[in-house]
Amino acid sequence: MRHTTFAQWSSGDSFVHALDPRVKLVSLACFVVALALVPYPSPIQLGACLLLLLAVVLLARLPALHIFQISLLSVPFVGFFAIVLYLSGDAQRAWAVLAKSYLSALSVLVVTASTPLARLVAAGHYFRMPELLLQVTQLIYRYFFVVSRQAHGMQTAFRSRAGRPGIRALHASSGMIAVLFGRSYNKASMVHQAMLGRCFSGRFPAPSFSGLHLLDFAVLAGSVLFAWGLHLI
Amino acid sequence: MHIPDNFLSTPVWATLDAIAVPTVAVVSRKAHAATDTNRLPLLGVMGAFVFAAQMINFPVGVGTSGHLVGGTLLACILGPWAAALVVTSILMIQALVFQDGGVLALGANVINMALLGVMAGYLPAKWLVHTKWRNYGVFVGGLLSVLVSGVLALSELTLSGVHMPTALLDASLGLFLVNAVVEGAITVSVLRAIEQLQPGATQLELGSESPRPARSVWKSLVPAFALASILLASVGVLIASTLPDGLEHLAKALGIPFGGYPTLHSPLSEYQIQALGTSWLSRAGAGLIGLLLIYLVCALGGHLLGRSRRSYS
Amino acid sequence: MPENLLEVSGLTYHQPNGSKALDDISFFLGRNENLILLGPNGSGKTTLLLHLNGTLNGSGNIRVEGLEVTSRNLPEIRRKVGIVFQDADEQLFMPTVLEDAMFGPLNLGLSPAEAEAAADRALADVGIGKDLLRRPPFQLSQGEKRRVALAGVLAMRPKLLLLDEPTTSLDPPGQKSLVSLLRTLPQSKVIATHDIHFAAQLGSRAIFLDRGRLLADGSLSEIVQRYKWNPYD
Repeated sequence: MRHTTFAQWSSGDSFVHALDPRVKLVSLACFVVALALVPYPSPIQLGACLLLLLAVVLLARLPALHIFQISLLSVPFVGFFAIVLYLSGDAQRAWAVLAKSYLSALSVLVVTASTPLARLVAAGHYFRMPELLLQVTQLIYRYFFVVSRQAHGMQTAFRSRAGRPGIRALHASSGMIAVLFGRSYNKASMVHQAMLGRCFSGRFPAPSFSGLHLLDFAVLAGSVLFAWGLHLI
Repeated sequence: MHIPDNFLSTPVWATLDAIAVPTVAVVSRKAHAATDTNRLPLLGVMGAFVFAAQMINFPVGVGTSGHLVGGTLLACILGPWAAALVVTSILMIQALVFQDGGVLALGANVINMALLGVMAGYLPAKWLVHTKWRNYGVFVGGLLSVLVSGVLALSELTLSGVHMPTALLDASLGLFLVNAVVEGAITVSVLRAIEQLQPGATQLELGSESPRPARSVWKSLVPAFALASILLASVGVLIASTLPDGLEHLAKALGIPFGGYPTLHSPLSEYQIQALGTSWLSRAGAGLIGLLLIYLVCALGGHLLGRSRRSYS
Repeated sequence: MPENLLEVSGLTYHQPNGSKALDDISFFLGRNENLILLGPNGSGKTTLLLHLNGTLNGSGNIRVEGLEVTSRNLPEIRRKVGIVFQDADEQLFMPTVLEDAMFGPLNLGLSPAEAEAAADRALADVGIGKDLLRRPPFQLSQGEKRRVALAGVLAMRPKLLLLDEPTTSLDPPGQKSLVSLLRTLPQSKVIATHDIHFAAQLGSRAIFLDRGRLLADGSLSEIVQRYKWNPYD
């Protein structure tokens, strides 16, 4: 499953991994915004973006082929709308949108594959995003895989006893979801008890960052330069 | 329906991001006020639950299976503010980890699904909770939440210059309607099953003890009005897009002059040169900005006028 | 210094639905003594444990090191009493192993550096290697999760350790290493368990609960024999 792969990849120790997550978020923003602001990118511009991303993948020692495979998952949905554009006569925009959307998705993938989500959330704290939102995001990510494993198990059990689709099957599925809900609800109260048992005061400890290194500044400057340079090509 | 990056034109995604940021901050504050510390794990685990439940196939008929989106379900369990917050979190995770929906388009997706979608889902359920049409309220809520999200997304795309042929537009709307009905059905079914299994787990159950139904209906009329206005505008945009010069006529009919928002247009004007800018597009964009401003004013007004009592439910 | 570490007298608890979960429970636990909690499912073992750290609030009197368990004393009580629940997943809610172990010490007011040191020590004590420190909890095996949960509590240096069915889902090697680990810990322990052989390794005194009532308090082997609590005898 993706989360286990990401968890392994994001705990690597290349210099990309070691970069400050705040820097990575800002660089990602520069890249994505710069790309969005170019309405009809030339092959050179697209190539420059792709090369940059490829370079990051290699520098982060991520498995390039596997990353490429995952990035293709975003294409079908994007492709649908590109086809809509193509059919409505705007072929140029259709290609442009397809290429840009793919590259944007790839850039996000690269950042998330080389940064633990918790660190990205910590960067969110730094940028003054609402605390409750970030805490909830962290908990959702933590428990999503536990609950979906349970859901998967229940669905397998359901399928092995399933009858025809219809109202009864809908009721059965709903019953299954209700049981999943019940377990989740109980889990939530157990988590709360576990937090209280360890003297939780209502606020999570604020995340800390080690100071910015030269490399962080270099990457930051590089991102800004790339974003600006993209428009000059 | 998660909009990917680079489909929305710059004025559209930038404006929606700009609106989403303070709105999410307000939502977070309201959710925080309505949440004891013991509910923090509940929000997290419920978010995980809905996220996981979205992957489950519900057999709804011959060969088709539906999926739960869950905004209305969350609103009935956690209340609207917490539900909006949880859906926002889910959208963020989906955009970052699964690249489902763009990161620049997050503002649009959050407004469509986490804010207006959840609101559209919650209000009918809440209004009918004291009546014998309670389940219909939940059904309509589920239906509206998906429909509203879909219509908004389509109109945002249309405003960004994605010219959908009318037939395709109709087909998309039809598809949204089908998904909306499925959502309504699944939400009602699941909510009833939950109430049987765990009575008292749902906010609406607790809300039935509220002693001041009249006042709370008035309070929710304001956001309902704002939501309806935005919805009307979106539908108007979609209809207009199928007519020649339709959007231009629409903007004129709404009485929105081109130069009417100088403070808003100057930072955006350079993008209009880069983007597929023509005068009708900018006018329609101005129309959307104007209506979204109305929404913001309503939301802030409601926040300032009403005492922020815990019982929005 | 009060003679007994733990004194429970007349503890009675009614569930929200009105049924009596605990009925007039009284017992003592001295220092350096372990107590095994036996009884059928639903007899109130977990409910009793939750009273000992103040999560639940019944009528009667509970004193830990002479300090009464009241809502005002909860922070102090929770410094003294650490509880490890049956489901390890519900206790590991932070993004990484190290952050989870640091959660308790940080809530006690230690600085991040001190908390990290305490967490490091506790994790080393339970045998969790350095390579696991930055891993997310869902990557760990059941045995490892249980040990990390224990470390999270040990990092707070409690005087009394409560363990609820600690051998659940543990394979034999896991059980073996848990036994040897628990034997090295200086804290007094109250262990709710169905596993008689495990219990015999850790304590010689037991109390037997049934439907909320304390039926026996005495030697473990004698109680096991009296209630035929050995499944394969």
